[in-house]
Amino acid sequence: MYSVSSAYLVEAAKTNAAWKRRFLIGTSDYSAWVKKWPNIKREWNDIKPGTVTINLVNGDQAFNFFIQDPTKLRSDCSIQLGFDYTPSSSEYLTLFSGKVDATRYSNGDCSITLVDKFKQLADRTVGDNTSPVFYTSSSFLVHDLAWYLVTSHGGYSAVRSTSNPDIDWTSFNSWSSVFSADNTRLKAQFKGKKITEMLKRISELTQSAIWIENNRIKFFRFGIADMPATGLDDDTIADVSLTFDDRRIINRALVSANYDVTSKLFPITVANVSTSSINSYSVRESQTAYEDIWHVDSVSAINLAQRLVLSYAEPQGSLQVESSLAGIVATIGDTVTFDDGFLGLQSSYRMMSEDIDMDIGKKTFTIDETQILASFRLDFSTLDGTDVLA
Amino acid sequence: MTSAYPFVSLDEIDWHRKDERIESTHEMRSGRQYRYRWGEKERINFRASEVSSADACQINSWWSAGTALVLQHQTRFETTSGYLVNKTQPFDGFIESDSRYFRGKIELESF
Repeated sequence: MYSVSSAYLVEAAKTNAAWKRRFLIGTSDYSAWVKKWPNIKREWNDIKPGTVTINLVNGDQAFNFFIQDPTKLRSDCSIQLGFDYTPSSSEYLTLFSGKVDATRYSNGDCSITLVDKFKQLADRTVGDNTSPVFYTSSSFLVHDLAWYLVTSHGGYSAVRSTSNPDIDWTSFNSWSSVFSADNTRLKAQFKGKKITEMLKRISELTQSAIWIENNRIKFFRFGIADMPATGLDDDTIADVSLTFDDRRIINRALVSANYDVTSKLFPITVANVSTSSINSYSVRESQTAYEDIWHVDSVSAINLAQRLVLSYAEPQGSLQVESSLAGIVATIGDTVTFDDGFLGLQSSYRMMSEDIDMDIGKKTFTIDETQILASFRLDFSTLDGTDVLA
Repeated sequence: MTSAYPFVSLDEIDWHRKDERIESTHEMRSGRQYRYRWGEKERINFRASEVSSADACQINSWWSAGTALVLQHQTRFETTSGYLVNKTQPFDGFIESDSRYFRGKIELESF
């Protein structure tokens, strides 16, 4: 959940909330020049540079300074949404931060594309085919490997506190405790792939969410459902669509481990199976074996195999919900309750993506159950049938 | 009408003022309506005639440069800040009988 004051929450819930939008280049406010405000999208595991394009009038040549001094492209920019409570008191939520990726001048207008912090990680590679970088001398905890990628190789701050300007330390710290407790360990060899690709691998190998919020990289592995922070019902839903995707089912997960860089073989492959799901939907297999990052032993590998089967053995609904800005502070990872009389759904879901249309003030969420039931799905088929309690 | 330049006097006719609210509305399934007002913009149009060549030249240069302007109406106590948004140069016509004066149209839209 975005961190805002209670006054912000009260104002945001109003049907006639007096929203204000801001576009800052450095500390200068260029909101008055904006012709069209952008859509800001982010997903829980879309680890690639995020961009937004903002269209501005340039009749007064206000943005020609980029032409005269291209170093200004490195300026920190932000797009914010909030309120002016009084002439001297305001509160704005930063929805996107980044540097200028490109400027285009046309017909007296200027459009500026901003790119977020993943850009630096997509611009840098680790190792090459001649001189790979090996992380094989010992078994690395998942978070240690991610930390080295983002800091040592990615060039971001290695400050281990909440003052880290690049990594959301609070989320990273919680994320690391999961792997310390599970003793989930990885090894790796890097042969020139981008850091974002390596983080995507780690996300896949650990079912973790890695995204950017408040200009910091956040790490999160969804566990036991927390207290729902946001409720969605007919008063807050403008439209909803539900997808049940049979293709997402996994009921036999195979995860390979302990890759041998010399023989190029995986001596270990573990499996986790849901018999009840196989009986209902036939065999749906998934195989995970990467030669650049891998689990070191069967204990680490089975952790992923179990999680895949627990999350995907049953078809889970994925909902796209259009709403007003009343739920603006809910963000990726938050638990939301969803109540729909027509579809007959009344449950808790996890928010997996968000799309904020700043031009008209609309927010579209994707919420699903794959990352919320894993920790407490109760299957009593061994007792009296194939039913599943959730 | 002023910017950083001396006052320009316009003998206006056909004064039109249009205020436009910039807002979006979202209707929820229960019928609850969220109405967000992002701002307002004001547009003032009027014709002017018998404008001296110096004033016409000055206003045309503001239009070319996209200069931020303040329009002050002496009798209505109205002030509007904005840009000239004419598609073409505001003063491009001569008074037929006397070529020392220009005529044209001001289209000013607020910030």
